[in-house]
Amino acid sequence: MYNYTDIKVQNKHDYWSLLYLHLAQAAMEGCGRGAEGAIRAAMQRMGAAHGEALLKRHRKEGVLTNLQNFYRSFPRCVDDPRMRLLILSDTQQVQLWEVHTCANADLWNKAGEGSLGAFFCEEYPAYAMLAYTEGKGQANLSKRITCERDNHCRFSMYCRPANMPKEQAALSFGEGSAALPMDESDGSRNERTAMLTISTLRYLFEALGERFGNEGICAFANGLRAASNDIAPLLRVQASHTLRPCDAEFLKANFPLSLSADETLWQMWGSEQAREQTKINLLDRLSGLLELDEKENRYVHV
Amino acid sequence: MYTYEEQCTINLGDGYTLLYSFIIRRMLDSFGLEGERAAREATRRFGRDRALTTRARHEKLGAKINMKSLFSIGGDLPPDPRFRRELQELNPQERVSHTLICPMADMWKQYGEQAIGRIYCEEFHNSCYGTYAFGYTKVYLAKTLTQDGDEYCAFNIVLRPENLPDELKPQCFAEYDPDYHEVKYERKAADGKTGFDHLSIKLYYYLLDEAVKAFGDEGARAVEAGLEDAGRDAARRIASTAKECGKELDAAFFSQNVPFEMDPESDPLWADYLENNARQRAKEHFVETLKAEIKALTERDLAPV
Repeated sequence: MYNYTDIKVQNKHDYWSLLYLHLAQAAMEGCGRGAEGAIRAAMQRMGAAHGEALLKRHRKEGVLTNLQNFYRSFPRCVDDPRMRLLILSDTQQVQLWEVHTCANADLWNKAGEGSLGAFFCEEYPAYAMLAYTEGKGQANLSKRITCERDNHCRFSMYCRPANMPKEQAALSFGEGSAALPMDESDGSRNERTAMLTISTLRYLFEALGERFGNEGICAFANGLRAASNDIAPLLRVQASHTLRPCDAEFLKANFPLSLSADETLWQMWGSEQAREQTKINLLDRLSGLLELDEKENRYVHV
Repeated sequence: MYTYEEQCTINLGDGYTLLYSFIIRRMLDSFGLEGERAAREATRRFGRDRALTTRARHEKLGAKINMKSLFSIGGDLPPDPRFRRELQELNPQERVSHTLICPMADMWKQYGEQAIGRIYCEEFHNSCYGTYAFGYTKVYLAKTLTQDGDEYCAFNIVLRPENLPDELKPQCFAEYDPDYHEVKYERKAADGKTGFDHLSIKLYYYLLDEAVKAFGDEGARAVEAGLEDAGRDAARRIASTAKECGKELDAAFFSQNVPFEMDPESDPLWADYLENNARQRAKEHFVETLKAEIKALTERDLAPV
């Protein structure tokens, strides 16, 4: 069993998974098989943006930018307490791990859409690590739960000083230097989940718009609408499980976005157009479906 | 038990595998991290060369450049009878397979050079399979027999059409090419002798080239020392095979079991790999060392054919 704190983080992750699923489904349905390219490109850009941002932060803080420090500050896949990982190697140059349980993959597989989930699994973690290592790392994903053949994921990430310029190696590796502590505080987890959700919305919106113009934007909007129809009843069920009213306070703790889309994270990771579309087609609809009044919606997020 | 022909392929394969580790060992001992940098780059160039050769051959056949073609038409690696692979999936987008026994990994481990084997696994496959499909292949090798704790190699080599630019889609996938007529081709395995000779020449050539580029004459000397180590080791291995098989240790036996010709100048495979005096160095430092070692072991010269 998970405690109340865990459950809230899990709920947030479920909504991110659901949003991704509905947006990917709507894109494939509205834009055809070319949508796969747009979704993959979005996940690549998102991974690259997150990896690059962390690299900049670590460089500014004087942290050695090796794989060990990367995975102390960045989720190995996603930041869900239900993930069960077996870490096989945790060094500056080599990071090996298996994922035995992944709630996101379970959700996608249950919907019969493991292959849509795979676009995320194949692109996002690799591009984040590659951006952090300035293209010098190597990402391997030989097994993944989103594939019918496999019952676990196996990631192997390598980054060798001999494959990078000397200046970069000096900033990345240092014998005997202590690794950063794991950053698993609730605040960090919640912020990372919100960042992942807002970024997913932004990069999918942009990639679909770029490739398919208005068709792509319509697919994005339709995906959000479909998601809101799924999310609203689920929020009610989750609230009832913990004997809470499904109100603004509950949403604040269990849903990764504020209904008023006023998080500062939108400015950092979102785009105005994506925010607007999300507000109209997801957040306002949720507000209506859950019968929340205007006043109740006005809570302040991170 | 293996047949004599199989044993020859095994010796050729081991010669090729150990040539790599003997040369790199010298580079690492002489130049440390910078030696490793040169070795990794040489391994990537070797991978790219093999990929371009294979792709050109497949294009000539009219095949689509995808994972099914790469792993079913027949590559340039001769089939070593000791390899054990389990194919999980092969289609134009994916080749998923497990290598349960890899004689290359076994040899490197036996010689205490697993770390050098890791360099090969990290660099070669990525470069080769990646280059084959114009840099768009995702080469996932998350488990390897050269990695401590892994019990097999898990290859997931993936080429997603939707990650390709539009102009390459018809060249790689039949479903994007309405005018495509499927080509029937016979799977043809590479010949053991020619195959391993060619691979060894290429492998050595790129290691020499990178060593010279990075370290000049000192780099060349390190590679020459590696060739001598490989020559001495090859002599012991083939002498043992000759004894076990009851074969005469002559020039013909040399040719059948060593991935270089006794007279490299007579071998046309060197034609594109002559820079840095590579062929002459191979003759002087590998072939001559091997012959001297055979003489020391058997107290006689290698008999001519």
